[in-house]
Amino acid sequence: MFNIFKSKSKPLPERDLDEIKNICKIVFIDDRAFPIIDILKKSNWKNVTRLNDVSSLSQTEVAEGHILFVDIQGVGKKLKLKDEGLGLIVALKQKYPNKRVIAYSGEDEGQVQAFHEGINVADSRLSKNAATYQFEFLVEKYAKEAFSMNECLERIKAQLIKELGNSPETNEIANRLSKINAKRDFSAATVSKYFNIQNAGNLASIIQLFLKG
Amino acid sequence: MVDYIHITLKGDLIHSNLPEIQKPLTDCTNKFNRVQCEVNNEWKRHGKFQIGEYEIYLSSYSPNVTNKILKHYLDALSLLLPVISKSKVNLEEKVNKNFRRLKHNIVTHSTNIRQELEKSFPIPQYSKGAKNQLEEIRNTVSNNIDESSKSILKLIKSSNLLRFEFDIYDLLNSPNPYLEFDNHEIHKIVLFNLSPYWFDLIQKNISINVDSCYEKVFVDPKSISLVLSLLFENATKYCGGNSEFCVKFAESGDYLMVSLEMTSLKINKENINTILTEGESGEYAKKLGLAGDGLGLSIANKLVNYNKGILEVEADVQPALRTSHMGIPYERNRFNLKLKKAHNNVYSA
Repeated sequence: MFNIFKSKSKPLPERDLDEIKNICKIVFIDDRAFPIIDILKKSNWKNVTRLNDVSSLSQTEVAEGHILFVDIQGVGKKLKLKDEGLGLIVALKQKYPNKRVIAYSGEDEGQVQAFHEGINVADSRLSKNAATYQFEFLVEKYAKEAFSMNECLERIKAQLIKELGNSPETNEIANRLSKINAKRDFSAATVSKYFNIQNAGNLASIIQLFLKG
Repeated sequence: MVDYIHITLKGDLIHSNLPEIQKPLTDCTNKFNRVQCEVNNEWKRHGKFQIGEYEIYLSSYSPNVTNKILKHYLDALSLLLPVISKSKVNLEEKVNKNFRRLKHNIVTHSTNIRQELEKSFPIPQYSKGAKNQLEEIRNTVSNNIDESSKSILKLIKSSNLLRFEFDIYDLLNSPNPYLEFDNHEIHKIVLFNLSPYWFDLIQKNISINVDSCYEKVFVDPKSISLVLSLLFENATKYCGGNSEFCVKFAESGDYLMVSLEMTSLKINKENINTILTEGESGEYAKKLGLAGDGLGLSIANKLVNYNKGILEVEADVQPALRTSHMGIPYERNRFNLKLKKAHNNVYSA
């Protein structure tokens, strides 16, 4: 019978920012090129790409991207989405709820269509003329959230508290995560057993992203 | 109760929900009539009245609405219309004033950028093709490395100021400005925003000392960057030459306090309480012709409030360092920016 207490452990990946910069994939979906892409590349973010538009939500760059910047204008046309980029943001968040999607625009990010679902489901909003610091801050924040061990443990803890009302201590979460890592099975079913949680979909995707890298 | 309202002021349309097909209005001047509608043949009551400069038309298809009820609606409209119109005019004036300020400042910064580029990296009109232009700029830069470097610093400053104008406009003109709070390294934000002013301060022979700090604060980076830039811009304008500009950090209860200490134009005691709220330039700034629109500190104060922080001014903190230049008094002044300390766990914040 399955016994989590007897499972083997495998150390968790402890990645520093340089390692995270090597694996995190950032995609700008924008019909215009801006130097921010080169600025991020110069800051050693190795995987930064730009798509003029998206022809399928499953296209490789989108499916593999971890952080997506979506211009609210001029994209989403190929998929014939209503409201261009805002429609694309809704579609992306529906298909990939755990990817981080940032709505960015040349217009004021506070005023523009503030009540549109696309703006509300986006994880962040940024003006195109925002300071480089703000772009780098968001990229680093979301990349660490996905790939840094400490951040991942905090996220799991917060998720468990949200769903169960309580959570094991951080050491215990790390311990269970090591065992999942040893099995190399990141399915919702396995995560559900290790964390004693019925609906483990969200937790599994956090764990899968962190452990697969 | 009232189905259609049509209001004009001196012939200009103010509001109308009348279907196009019902215009022009039927003859029903200065009284309410019960008539059969010419469009759908239903019975309606309607009336058109001249109230001062307003022409008001009301109609109702409800059988329960009497002439008396319609008259109450007309009275209410007559009372409220001038008030609403005045408030609309005030709002338009405010929007226009803010827009004029934005336009004026954008023109100033973009002119600085264009003319600095033309001055320092001139491209003769007879230049032929991009290859020649590249060669000319390369020669200009290599023959004037110092001047070119200074120009680039000026361009960076002006383009930053340009961006800040848009940010100020966005933040102050929205009824619900969008703020994104997170834990940020305050030292990094301070240095990032001080950078465009470094050159101006050094040119005035001001030594700059920024203490170290590893604390984080829970702020919206865009608005706090604006606050710091407005304070640094003030410092470059109002600091006396050959002085010291210090940025210090200290814990203060729930806040982290960023103190900007400088030898700058004397702040009169009676202005200390109003300097952050009234939007007026100081007496000595006016005398020296340095005064801008006087809104900088009041805008900064408003943005600090957005961040649940506190901005304070302490004047003459070291009387021993009072000085004067060409009869203008300078004192050691301190601007304290208190910002909320970082939240421990942003995932559950």
